[in-house]
Amino acid sequence: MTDVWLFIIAGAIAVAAAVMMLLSENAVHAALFLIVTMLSIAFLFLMLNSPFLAMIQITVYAGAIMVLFIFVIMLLGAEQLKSADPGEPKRRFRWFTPVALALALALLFTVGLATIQGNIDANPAPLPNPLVRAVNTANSGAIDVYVGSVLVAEDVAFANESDFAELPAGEYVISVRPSGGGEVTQTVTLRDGEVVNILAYGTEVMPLVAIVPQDLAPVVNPTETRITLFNGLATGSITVAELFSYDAANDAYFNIVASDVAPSSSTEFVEPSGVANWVFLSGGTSPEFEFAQLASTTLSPEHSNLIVVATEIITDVNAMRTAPLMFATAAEPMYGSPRSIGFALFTTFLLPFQVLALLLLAAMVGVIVLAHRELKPIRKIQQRRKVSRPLTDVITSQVGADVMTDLPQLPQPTPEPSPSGD
Amino acid sequence: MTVQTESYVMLSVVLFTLGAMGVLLRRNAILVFMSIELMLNAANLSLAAFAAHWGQQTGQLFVFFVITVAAAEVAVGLALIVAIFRTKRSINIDELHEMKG
Repeated sequence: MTDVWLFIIAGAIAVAAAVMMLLSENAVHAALFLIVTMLSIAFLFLMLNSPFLAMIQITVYAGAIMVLFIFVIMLLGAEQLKSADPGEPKRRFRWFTPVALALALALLFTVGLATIQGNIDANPAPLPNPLVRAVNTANSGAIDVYVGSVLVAEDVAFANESDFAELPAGEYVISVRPSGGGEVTQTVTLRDGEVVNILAYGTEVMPLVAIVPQDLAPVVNPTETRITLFNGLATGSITVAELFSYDAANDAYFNIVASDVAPSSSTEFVEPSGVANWVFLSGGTSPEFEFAQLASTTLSPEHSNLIVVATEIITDVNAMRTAPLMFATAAEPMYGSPRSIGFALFTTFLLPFQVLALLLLAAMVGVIVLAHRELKPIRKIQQRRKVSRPLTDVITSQVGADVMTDLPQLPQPTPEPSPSGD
Repeated sequence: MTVQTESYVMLSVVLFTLGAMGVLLRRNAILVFMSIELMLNAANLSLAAFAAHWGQQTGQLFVFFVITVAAAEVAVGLALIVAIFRTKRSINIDELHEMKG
């Protein structure tokens, strides 16, 4: 509800300032009213999840462009819009005003009607195609993954993941083929907007396959990180707690990150980003023993992390160990943020951006050509020097410096003897 | 309850109409220019509203391009106004009815 009130207030300010701009008699006042309109539009941009646009609206539009306007108004001395002599109301097109008003109202009516009839809000935005990737945490060698007949990932080794592949939504048969031969199949329905991991896990000859959805959406709070935890152990649920949150008096962990994740199931949660020191404990509400640690792992808010607790067979010594495997995936950049707009500018919109740069260059040259005033060459005013030089200087410059010494000296008046000499 | 996209589009239409009226009715070239800026702003608002509605950033990038082009356009237009003012000593667009410089 606050949104609606903010929209009404900002919209009313924008419209009122626009009307005042049209009615004001002073061009400087009109420019100031236009700045108010632009600032409220910048506020509306903020409400529309476009902070970057709001910022450039304020700096470029309300700042730079309006400074230019006011500068030209003051340069031309055109702030008074009424003509200088009052007895001159003759306008060339007197019939123009009612026609223009009627046209503008017709435009308002037509587009307004089209907007209302168009029923924009009844059509929600379509979701993007589902994304699929393969993650291998199974001890049966590298795997190839087919979704339907499409090879999504080839030769994914243990503790590795493939890139995401985009597929049309629908029902697929997933086939996971380990390098040793054989095939594990599973049917899955992919819906639009989903991000899905095809996770192979287990210690048997043939891997088990789980479909783990993951959320790549950006976190709202930039100090948090999305985590998807999958329990890839054969038996026993797991609990994750902070490493240093053990309370000896009560024999319990007081800072539990995720509790009671059943085998072959996943859970999603959001944790503060930064360094994570976690212990993985077996059992549910009353954890029994610790079997793995995840120490000094940095969680970044720009990533969505998939953590798979998997059993690894170390073939050299024929032993098993349990380890949390972490797969960090770059999350989608925040919608409308400077980062995502910059990314789009440098990838999809690189060519338009360059064309725009050329256009700006052309505008610069155009401004110079238009505003360039041809300077008439100012005639040098020939003027006789008013102060005559001393005669000796003239002679020196014409004859040479050494003549100076041979010049006859005028008889100098002998200095009077100073009275102190006596 | 969030604000509907329709409301943004309606607001943008109202602002656009005000700008169009300014272009048609005012006789001062600088005022006409400011009204064109108002119309561009109204179009930007509806672009941003549709971008938010469809969850796609392309609309926002177009707003970015429009703002840049508007900056270039303002620079050239104001240079034109200054040049006209130099020759005519007036920026009343009613007096600009002859093509001879």
